[in-house]
Amino acid sequence: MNDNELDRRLEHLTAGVETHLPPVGDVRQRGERLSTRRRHIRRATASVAVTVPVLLLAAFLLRPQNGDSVQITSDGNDETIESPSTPDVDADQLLGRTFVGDRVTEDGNVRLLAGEMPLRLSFEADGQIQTSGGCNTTEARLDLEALAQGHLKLEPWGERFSTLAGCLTTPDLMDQDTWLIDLLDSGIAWRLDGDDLVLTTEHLEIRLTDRAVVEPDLGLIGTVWTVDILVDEHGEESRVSADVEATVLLSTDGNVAVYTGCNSGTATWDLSDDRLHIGDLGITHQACPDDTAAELEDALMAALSTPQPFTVSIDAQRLALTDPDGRAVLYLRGAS
Amino acid sequence: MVRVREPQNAAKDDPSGGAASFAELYESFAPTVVRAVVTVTGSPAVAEDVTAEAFAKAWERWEAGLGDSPTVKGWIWTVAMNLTKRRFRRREVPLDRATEDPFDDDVRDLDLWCAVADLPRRQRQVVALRYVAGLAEHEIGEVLGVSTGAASASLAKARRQLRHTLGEAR
Repeated sequence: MNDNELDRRLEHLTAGVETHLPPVGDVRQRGERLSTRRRHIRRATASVAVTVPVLLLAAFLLRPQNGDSVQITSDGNDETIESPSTPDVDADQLLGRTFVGDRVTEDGNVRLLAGEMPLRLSFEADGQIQTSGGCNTTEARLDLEALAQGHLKLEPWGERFSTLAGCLTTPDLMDQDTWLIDLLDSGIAWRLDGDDLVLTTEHLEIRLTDRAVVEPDLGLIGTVWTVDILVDEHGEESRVSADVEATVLLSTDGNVAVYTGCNSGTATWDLSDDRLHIGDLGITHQACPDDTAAELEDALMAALSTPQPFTVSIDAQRLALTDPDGRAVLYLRGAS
Repeated sequence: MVRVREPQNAAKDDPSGGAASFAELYESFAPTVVRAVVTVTGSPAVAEDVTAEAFAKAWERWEAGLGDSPTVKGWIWTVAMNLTKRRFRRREVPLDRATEDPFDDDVRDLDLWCAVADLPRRQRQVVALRYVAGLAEHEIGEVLGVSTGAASASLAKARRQLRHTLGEAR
């Protein structure tokens, strides 16, 4: 094929694509909501900075005695909940943490959920929240004013993003996603109880536990780390096929064992703070059985050949390696 | 920012004319943005949402009096491509490639479509901006925040790969 023919075909590539765009009025409204949200976030951020210390002082001075009940207004409806013995609604204590769990009671009866520890709430430092009922993850913005007043509530007009997994074989998990989002849209009272985040309405209690307690970070050394996601030179990520497996194991004797999916090798390693340096890798040279394994080997060797030291970041069972410029190089997952 | 001339904006003289001019820009330009983003993502649904979001952000600028800038189209391209990247990061677009068929019934060049879908994301972006958006290589570099040389190299790589793939398909 010559260049002219390729150009001609590329120029007509999208000729058959039909577009179904929303009316321009809807787009303008969406833009106006963005502006409003920006203004609101600026106000709320400033307000939280002032409100939290004031609320804490007020909570201390006016703290209810055990057994007292407090009135909470949510969306115009009065709800009564039993006050906790030591209410803790310091919003700053939530941000940056993830809570997981499956303990739900409705009018005192246990409500069984589908999946293993399906409920997950991640509070990001910038006021975003990620929620999951077990299937998809939705990212939304928190109503920071409500949060500081003891209510977990999503901004009604905030942008939302969601993963789009089908979960066709486990529809209950999708239903739980919707149920959790509905609760957060309505607003639900929150408090911290030790390592637990407790969410309550008049009839419902959800108790989640800090992820760091339930799923503690794996240790870098002694864990068999399986390569999960490769990152190419353009920053594009691709998940490793389930058909092949490459692993990395750092041992206490200062050696790292690498298995590329068809060859194995060793090198020395050195860790200083969270900076990992892996020495030259001596490796066997067997031919890989298929292209998939060969591509994984090439990609892993390329990743380990990038400039070092790597910055090591472990989140539960996930290990991320980034290069000195802060670019992700490799994601691995470990088994406890 | 890319300097692509657009029709004169009436907003400067007539504030109520801003919306009409924005509507004109949206109606004439948004379908091209959708087609370019489909080329990158393979998903019409994602492309339409990315385009609507990019224009919503453009409306914010328009209202702030920046709408009549000659760079507005380049700005929209940059926002759309950044949003596309963000969607990939958020895994809204499957890691390998989207599997929706972006054509209704009229598949014009399925071999080429599949060959483009197999390119790395950066190369798909360059192909989309060159052949769907009609940008020059230096404009592509500005939209993607890379040098003209890097944009040209990506384009050459993409064309070489496409020629190879389509040659094999024959």
